Amino acid sequence: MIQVCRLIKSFSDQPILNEISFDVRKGQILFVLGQSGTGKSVLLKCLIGLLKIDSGEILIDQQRVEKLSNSELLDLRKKCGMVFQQPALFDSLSIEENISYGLVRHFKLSRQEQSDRVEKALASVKLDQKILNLKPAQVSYGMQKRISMARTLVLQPEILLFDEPTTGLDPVSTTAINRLILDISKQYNTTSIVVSHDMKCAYQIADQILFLEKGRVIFDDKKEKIGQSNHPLVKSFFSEVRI
Amino acid sequence: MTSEIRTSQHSSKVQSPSPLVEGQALSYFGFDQPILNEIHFQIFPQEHVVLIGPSGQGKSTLLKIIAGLVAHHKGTLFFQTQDWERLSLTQRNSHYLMRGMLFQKNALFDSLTVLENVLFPLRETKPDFQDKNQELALELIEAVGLSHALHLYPNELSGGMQKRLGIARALVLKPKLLLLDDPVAGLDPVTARSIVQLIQRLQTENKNTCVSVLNDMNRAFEMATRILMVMDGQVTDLGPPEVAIKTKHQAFRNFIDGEPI
Repeated sequence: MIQVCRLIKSFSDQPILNEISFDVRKGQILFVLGQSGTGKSVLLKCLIGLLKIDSGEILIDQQRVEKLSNSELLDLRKKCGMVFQQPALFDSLSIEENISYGLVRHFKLSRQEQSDRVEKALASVKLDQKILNLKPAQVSYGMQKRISMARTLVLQPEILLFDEPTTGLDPVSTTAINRLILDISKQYNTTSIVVSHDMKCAYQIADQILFLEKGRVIFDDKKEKIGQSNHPLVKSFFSEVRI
Repeated sequence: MTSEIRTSQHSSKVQSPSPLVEGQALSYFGFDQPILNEIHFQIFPQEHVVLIGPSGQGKSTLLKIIAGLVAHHKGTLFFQTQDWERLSLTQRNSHYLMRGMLFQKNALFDSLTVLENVLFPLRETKPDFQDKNQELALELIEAVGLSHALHLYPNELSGGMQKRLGIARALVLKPKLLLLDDPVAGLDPVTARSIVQLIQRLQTENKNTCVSVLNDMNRAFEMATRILMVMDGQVTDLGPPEVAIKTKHQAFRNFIDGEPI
């Protein structure tokens, strides 16, 4: 579903991603792990063409992303839902308007269908309908994160890209979000890439783990193999979990 | 699989009879119900109290009340035994200078560089401050691993780097009361551990008091000298980490295991 080959992306001549290659098969969940500032979020933005790469190839569903025109990129992005690191909600819109924003813009649905999809998305992130009329500033940060996730899920994308979906969430919400990613992946055969620092989450739900250090891949394999890695950074992350 | 919890190496401090901060029957109301409902708590000098609990239940609100940034609706809040409501503006301002706060979303100045963000509290609050006296700011920036980014702007930093910058800025006035709203959120485990060590080192050096909100239970148990759980409008004192870890409080057990409460 997603193939990346020798991807290079630099900022001010400083390479952030240095010859990154990996594949993700349809329905799989790939966790991208690594220290902060190592280019994980940059990688996600490159995948959907929000950042232009310096060289290399990105294939999503047989399309070369770096060669797509702006209108083709827009079509690609409709297939890809992205949950950003910060909730990135519209302050001036209600929570219902935030969640339905993409639906209104990209789908011709009746009000009832729209409302049903919003309610379903909200329920899937374990939030109550009574918050629908509130503004983002009136709910906690953890709730804002879940609302941003509902806003992505409501579009029922084929590919889901998560940029630290559980950062700032308590352990219960973290487990709930992880189970949700797993459920969605199984139920809709969605392909997911999750950028995270959370080795415990990765170990719970990933099929495959890609580990980056200073813009290079230091581990790319099934999650079961990560305990066998002798790389000090991988081992340090892995010490966060006990099997 | 369970999370591996390492408890703090710091033993719980001997509690002074006079708390630095105390809340008596404090309430804070949200839209249709109390977020904090007649809670009682005490924060003693040189403690590191960690607030944990499900999201949306008032941890950050309580931290902001302690910071004096959000007004409670009922009850009494004491700072060094003085009733906050009865303090003059001048007295409140002197209290504010004793506090350093890291906000959940960092609240960095977009138009200032990394160095300028950290220097900002010094320039604003110390009339005799001269830019050549940057040692402490530079030391803190180095401690949080941002020396290479001195002249970058916040939007040029990753989420984790922004968090580290926020911590450096919160520490630059050597506050007596350090308030940290999720200081390791968005940080990888290696950086998070180094931040924990930095905060503990500075707390030992400066003999300050810390109150943190944490969602990462590994870090909560490493940092805390006492753990308070904020849930259902109430604050429950779970004691020092070595006591909290053995608690039979079922909601707490479920919470740290990430299971529904």
